[in-house]
Amino acid sequence: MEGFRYTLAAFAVQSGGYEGVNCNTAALGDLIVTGITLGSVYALIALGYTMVYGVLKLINFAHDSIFMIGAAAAYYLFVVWFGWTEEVSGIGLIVLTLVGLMFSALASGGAALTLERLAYRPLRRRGAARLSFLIAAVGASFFVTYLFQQEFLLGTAEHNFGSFMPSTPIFEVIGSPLNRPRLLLILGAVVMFIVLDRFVRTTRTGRSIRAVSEDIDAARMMGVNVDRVVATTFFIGGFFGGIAGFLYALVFRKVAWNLGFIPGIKAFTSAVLGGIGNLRGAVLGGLLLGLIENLSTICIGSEWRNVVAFSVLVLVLIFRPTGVLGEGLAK
Amino acid sequence: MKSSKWMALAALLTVVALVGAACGGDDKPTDGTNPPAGGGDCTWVIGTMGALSGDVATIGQPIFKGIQFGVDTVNESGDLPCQLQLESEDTQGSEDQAPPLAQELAQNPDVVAVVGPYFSGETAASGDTFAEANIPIITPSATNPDLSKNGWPFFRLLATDEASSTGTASYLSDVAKFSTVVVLHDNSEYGKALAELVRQKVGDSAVGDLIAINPEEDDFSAQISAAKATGAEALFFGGYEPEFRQVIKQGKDAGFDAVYVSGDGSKGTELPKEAAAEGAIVICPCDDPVASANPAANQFAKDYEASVGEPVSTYSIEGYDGVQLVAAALAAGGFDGDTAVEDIRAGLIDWFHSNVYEGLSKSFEFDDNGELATETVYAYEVKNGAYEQLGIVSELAGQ
Repeated sequence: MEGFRYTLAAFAVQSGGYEGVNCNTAALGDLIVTGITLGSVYALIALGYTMVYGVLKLINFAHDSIFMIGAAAAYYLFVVWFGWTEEVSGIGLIVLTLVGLMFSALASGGAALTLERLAYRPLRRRGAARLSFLIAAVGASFFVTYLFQQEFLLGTAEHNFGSFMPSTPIFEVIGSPLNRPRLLLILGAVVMFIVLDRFVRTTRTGRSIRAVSEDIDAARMMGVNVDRVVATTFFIGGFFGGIAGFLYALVFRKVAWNLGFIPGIKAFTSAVLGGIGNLRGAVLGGLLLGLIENLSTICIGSEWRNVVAFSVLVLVLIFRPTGVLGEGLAK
Repeated sequence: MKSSKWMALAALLTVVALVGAACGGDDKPTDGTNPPAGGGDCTWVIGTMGALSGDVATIGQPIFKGIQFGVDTVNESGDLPCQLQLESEDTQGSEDQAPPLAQELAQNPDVVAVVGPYFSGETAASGDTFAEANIPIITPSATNPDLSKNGWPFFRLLATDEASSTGTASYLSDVAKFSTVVVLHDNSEYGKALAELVRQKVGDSAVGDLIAINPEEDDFSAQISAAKATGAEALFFGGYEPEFRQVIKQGKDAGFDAVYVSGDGSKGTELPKEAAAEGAIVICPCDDPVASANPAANQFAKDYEASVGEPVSTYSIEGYDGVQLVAAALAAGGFDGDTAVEDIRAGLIDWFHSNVYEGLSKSFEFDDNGELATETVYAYEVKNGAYEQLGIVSELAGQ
């Protein structure tokens, strides 16, 4: 139920008058920079949706909880187990950040693998209908999210996080201050996208992923180990989701059980906007959605943010049903 | 085949039994209240409901603990012919969850009064239910002015948002003398109303649009950019603590160096712990018992900490006063275990309307709508990780 409430809240037109388009140019620099930051989160999560869709034609709705697990893992590592509260700088900061990134990425990657093994593989073995996968995905999402809401895990409270990384601005881009977590998020999205794009295009595993994406039966006949390819795809998607979760927790300095819900919906939207199944589309869609959301907040009004963002999605899908860049992991 | 069917049936029955057991657990009437020390063998139930868990539990828990401490104190004194028993419902601060919980309290034939609900939204959503059963609603913390206009048996133990917004505007314009203020809110029943009132009352100092954030989301950067573009000296936020913390964090991240001001919904225990919140101002119709001029209130702060194991926080004392008020009315009414609960409820309502009760936080004299005759609003600043009381706003403003 909580989930539906959030969905409604996210889409609802909240009361407040429409005052016409009136962009405040003074805020433009800020809006572009924060829009790109937000878009980077969506892009990183969207990569996970798009990878799995590309291979299995399945919308893995549990991906939002995989993202949340990344944030939760970082919270456990830094706050619960090590109780780290001091700010660090220099080499120490780099080491802590890398450790956090890897830990979150592996935790989420592992969770995605487990999910695939427990929820999807049995269905695949039985040749279940695509709808069954979708229901399993929705069920898994609720299961994991509400599992983490229990008091022995995160509980219902919101936790502070990320005090080890100084949040003071380090420099300004087009008049908008940028701090370390935000810079890291943008750079992280760019670097991770390039790595993944190269991986899928040039490596042997990448080739088998593309083969399965193009034609799963033909690939199997050609000797591709489909189970392994699917597992790898889930792991990579989860890995990226974990990185996104860690960086998200750093930027907003909080971790909570329901942290994945809104970013999950938005990232799914980004993937569809850019062209689901298409890695470059996921990144483009994420950045577009982040920018559209931010610009509509200031040009039209804060209550209209989600209305505008989702209207753009509908319009794009009317005129280009496959999204801006079209479908296809294989191409 | 046959055996697998029996297995399925057994599994089904097990699930039903488990669900039944889980639901049955909710019927447990008490919530950690100490066993009786005095009084007779009858019980009167005081209902309470609010955010006992969830991200706004930082505001709900101190109120609940104040109420619980009040019930324990009354029972230990043995002044009443019956034991008081506390029955609590956890709304997680959500008005969607409130109505069925209110129903549960209203159907309990032993409930004599409700000290709660804590938030305006959940009070609005459950007032009719209590009113139908003629159960007095004594809220220690819900501040939306419209709540008293429904004809409910409603009593408010603190000043309304109307008074708070006047105090806030007076603080912003007359005390801190900000010439420009930008106003944000969280679209909640409480937050939006307060923000609109403050914006209206600061008059020409209000700059930019009234900006809404969505509390279900984490990213407020666009709204912050809009606020920052106004170049305002102060930012007022109408809403609750978790979002106020995010507004401050994201505002300072974006280099918006205004003074961050909010209302009582933000005066939770976590705000002062936030490094970025240093210097933030909270305007609240609550008197800090530690800083109070009333020695009895100071003593309450000590007793509360000794009993509850944590320092007194916002609205703990109002919660305590609410229980003491009910106890005073119960004692004055001469009720006992044989009095019909309907008569007790009606008797309490009459007593509240016609008497003045000296509580620890203030003197409770209600008008016909259940509002206080005198409303006082205080200003607090976050300093060195704690709240420091700056004083009563009307006195600071020299009025």
